[in-house]
Formats: sequence, C-alpha cells, structure tokens
Amino acid sequence: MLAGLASARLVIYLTGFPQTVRQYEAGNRLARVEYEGLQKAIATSSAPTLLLVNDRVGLAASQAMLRMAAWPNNGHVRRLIIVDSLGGQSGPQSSLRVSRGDREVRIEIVAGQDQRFVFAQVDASRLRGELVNQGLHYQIETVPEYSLAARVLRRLSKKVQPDQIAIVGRLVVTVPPEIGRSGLQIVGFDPRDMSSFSNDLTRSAHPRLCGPTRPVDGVPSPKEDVLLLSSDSAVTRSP
Amino acid sequence: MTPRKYWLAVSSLLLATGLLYSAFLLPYVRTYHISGDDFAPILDSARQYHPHPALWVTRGFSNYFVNYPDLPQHGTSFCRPVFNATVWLESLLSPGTGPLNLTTNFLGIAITLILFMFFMRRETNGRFIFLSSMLIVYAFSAMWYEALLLSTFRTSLLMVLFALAAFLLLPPEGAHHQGLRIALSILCQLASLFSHETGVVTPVIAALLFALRRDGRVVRGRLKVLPVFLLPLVCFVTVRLVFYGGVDHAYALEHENGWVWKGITGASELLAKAFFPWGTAAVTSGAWRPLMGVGVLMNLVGYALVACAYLRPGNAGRGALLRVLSCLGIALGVLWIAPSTRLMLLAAVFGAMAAVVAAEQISRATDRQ
Repeated sequence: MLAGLASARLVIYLTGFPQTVRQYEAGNRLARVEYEGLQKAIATSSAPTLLLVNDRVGLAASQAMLRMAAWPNNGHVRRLIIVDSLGGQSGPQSSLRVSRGDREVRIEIVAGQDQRFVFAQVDASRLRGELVNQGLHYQIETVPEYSLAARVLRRLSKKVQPDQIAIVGRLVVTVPPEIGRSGLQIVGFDPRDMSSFSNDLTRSAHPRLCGPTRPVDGVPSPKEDVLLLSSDSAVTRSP
Repeated sequence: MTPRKYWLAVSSLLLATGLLYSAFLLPYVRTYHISGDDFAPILDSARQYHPHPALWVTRGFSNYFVNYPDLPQHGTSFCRPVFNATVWLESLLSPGTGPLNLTTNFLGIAITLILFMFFMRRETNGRFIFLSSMLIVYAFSAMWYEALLLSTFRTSLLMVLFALAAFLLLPPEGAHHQGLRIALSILCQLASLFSHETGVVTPVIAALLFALRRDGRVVRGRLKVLPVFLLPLVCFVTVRLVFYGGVDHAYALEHENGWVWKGITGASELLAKAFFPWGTAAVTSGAWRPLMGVGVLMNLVGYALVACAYLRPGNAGRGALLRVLSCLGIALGVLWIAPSTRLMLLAAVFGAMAAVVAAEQISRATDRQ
C-alpha cells in the first residue's frame, strides 16, 4: 500500500511540477526585465523622483527592489515611490494614461477583465475611496469578494464579511505639483500588453522617451517605441 | 538487509530523486532571477548592501514589506535571523541576482531528505520498502515546490532541517554524552524556531520524543530534564516581547472574520491533507484539476491505515502509533491559522512516519495470522 502511495505521488509530481516550473520560469524572465529596466532607468534619469507604475514582480518587496536597483546610482534619484502593483496577464480592455496638466501629473489606469491591482501587505478592508500615500492622491474603486468557503458560510449566516477586497476597475493617482515640479521619472508596465516603458517628465514641456518597450509575458511582440507624447504633454499608448 | 546495503540503496534513491528534480529544474536555474519577497531580505542581509546583523534580531522583517508607508499595513514582524544569515553567506559566493541565491534551498533540501531517512530509520523498524516509499512520498510533495523555486521560501525548509537535526541529536537511553547531545539539540531547536515561527512546535515535539520510548511508554528518569526544552521557547518569547512588543504580531493572525471563522476554514483545509500535503489552494481558487483527487485519496489511505492499526493494535499496543500521531497533531496544530501546504514540511515527516508505523503494525499482525 505504501508503494502505491509513492506511485501516486510520482504521478502527481510528474504531471504538476513541470507546469509549475514553466510558470515560475516566465516569472524569472519578467523579474529580469523589470529589475534591469529599473536599474537602467535610474542610472540614466535626471529627475529626482521615480514612480513605479504597475509593478509586476516586486509586489510585497517592491520598495526593496527599487532600492536595490538604485544602489549603485542613488546619487541623483532621491525619491523612489511605488504607485501600484498589477497582477494578471495582458488585458486588451485595459489602459494607462499619464497626462500632465499645468500643475499636476495624473496617472489613470483601467484594469482589464483578468487583471487586478495589488497593494501587498496593505489592509485591503481599508483601501477604498480617496487616500494619500507619500504625497500622491489615490482614487480607488474596490469591490468586495468572497472566497469559496466564505460563500458557503454566507449561505448559512449573513454575518460573514467579505474576506477579500478586489481593487478592480479604475485607479487614478494624482502627483501634486510639489513632487512633480522638480522632475519626474515614471517607469512601469503597460497593462494592455505588459510591455515596459520609461518616461522622464522633466520640467521642460518636452518629455523624452528613455527606454524601449519590451514584451514580458509571452504576448505577441508589440511595436518598438510605441510610447507617444502628445502635444499637450500627455503620455499615452498608440491605439 | 545489512546496514551497508541499506544505505547504498538509500543513497541511490536520493540520487535518483535529485536527478528527477534536476531534469525539470535545470532550465529554470539557467534563467533564474530573484523576484517578489526575495528583494527585501537580500537588501537587508547581503554583504554588498552593508547589513547590520543585530537588526536581523531586533527588527526582523518589520521594515521589509513597507511599500505604502501612509496606508494601513498588516504586521510582518517576523524574526528569522537564521534565514538572514544564510542570505549573507550566499552573498559571499556571489553578489548577483542570479541562481546562486538558490544555493541554500538546494543544499537544504538534500540535507533534509538525508536527515529524514536517518530519523525514519531510528523511529521505526526500518523496513526498506516502507521507508523508501515514504521518502518518495515526502520528497516529491507539492510542499517543496516553493522552497525549490523561490529563494525566500527557504524559511520553512530551514525550520524542518534544524528540527530533524534536533530530533536526531536527542540521545537514546544509555547513550554517551547525554548532556552534550541535549545541549546541541536545544541549539538546533532554537535555530528551527528562528528560521520560521512554525518551528515553535519543534521543542514541544522534541520533548515528547525524548520523554517517550518508541513503544509510547514514558521514560520516568527523563521527566526531570524536560524543563530544559522550554529554553528555546523562553528565548523566543523574550526576543518577541523585548523587541516586537508581543508574540502575536503577524499578519497570519489578522483575519477579518475572526478566530472562529479562521478555525473552521483552516482546520477543514488541514484535514484534507493531514498525512500527505497537497495543494488545496488550487481547489479554493477554482483551479481544480481531476488529478488533485489523487491527493485526497492518498490522505484517505493515510486515515484508513492509521484507523486500521489503531483498531487492531495486536500485542504491540497503541502506544507507538499514538506517540507519532501526537507529534503529527502538534505539528498540525500550529498550522490552523496558516494552513499553507508549504508550511507542512514538519507535519509531513510525522504523517509519513504514522503511515509507516501503522503499516508495520498491520503487516506484523498479518504475518502472525
């Protein structure tokens, strides 16, 4: 009987482990792209503040990742700020729009159907409405979610609270003038195709593109340098 | 089977296990790059970032996962200095972000499996077919996957490694250097506890193994030594109280629906994998695959074996089985607040052992008939 258990275990291992490894292997590629991209962006940045938008691999330790990436070049970039992390694969319905008005910079991210914003280690039950973090103003849309077990218990008692809060839909982050005015480097991933981007929004009216885009999650390769700067200094993706 | 042949066969089995893992892991290792949680402990422990080892004890993980300092955070005041030390040691090998960050993980798993076989042989009658089957069941469990693939998830691996070392160091009755072996065992228990908080059960299980013979009878002369096993726990609680303001500050203990709810969901999840861990999270997240039914069946077999041996104990009595089941119960008891498969490394040792003890008891009864 114990030999039978061993055989069953081997069957589970042989059918499950290679698949798991492949998933994590894709994570390795993503981690390399994001980390090396950050290193490059920080090394070439002339702005004192760097914002990481739609972080994909740092998650709970994204601040540490930024600090590691900045370690040899932390003379110029003085503030490293995580805007959000994003889970899921490419979402054609999603969008990212970074626009610069007269005084403030506005980042609007709409998550796709299978995407969700991740604020690792933050108490999700208190993540709703408008919030301020490190000077950035957040407008967050959330929906309560119930796990399988919570749904079962909810049938028995209506007092069961949602055990997960999903931040879906739209996230709007406003960078106030006191942060944006001295220069801003925005790096991250576009939620539509998960290609990385880097933008230096300096005080000048003509922001420049700092790095090429790179596909990271196996989606069809996007065009190179598709990041466009419109005449009103809005930074958007080409359609 | 002579001891020499036995260990030759065990070595071959361990080698085959390593090869079977390598077949899938080699491409992964080639492309490996640290990610997620890995960044924080490396930043605070690796030589090139000028770490302060005292902070590994006094602050632990408190400042590791703070990305949004002005938003309400879950507590992560884990204290795992043994883990930090292994990250520092690895950074002496390579300051990079590549595969050398998995050195401790791979070495740790190899050592743990060797210790597992020593421990199983010591605590059972040592029938090769039983032990080798359980080595396969233990070594290829889904609970290892994260410890193999992610650098930071070595914490529970280090916990079980030091726990097994602590159990093996416990002196048998009449052995030489009893005091020295107990002292070394206590040190290993402390290392287990400071590798991962679930190691809080290590001193309790060690005390149980020390005080009870294999047949489950109490060794009266040893009872007076038992207070020594409180030392690691006292040390842990003192560190927590002095530097962290309490023993319970961890996000696993913060649950929106309270303890009763947590108890129901945690216990039901643990019951489905009590003997042989498998990834139940895939079911609750909706990623159910029919093959997962095999995991459920394996545990049902575990329950059936133990029930059969318990109901028909024969001349051997129930003591041996109860002793192992108590250890399993203690190891599982701490997991009900965090019933993750990856934290079941220690519980799985006793799950496998319970199956061997039950199978030996049943086969003895069958032979007699």
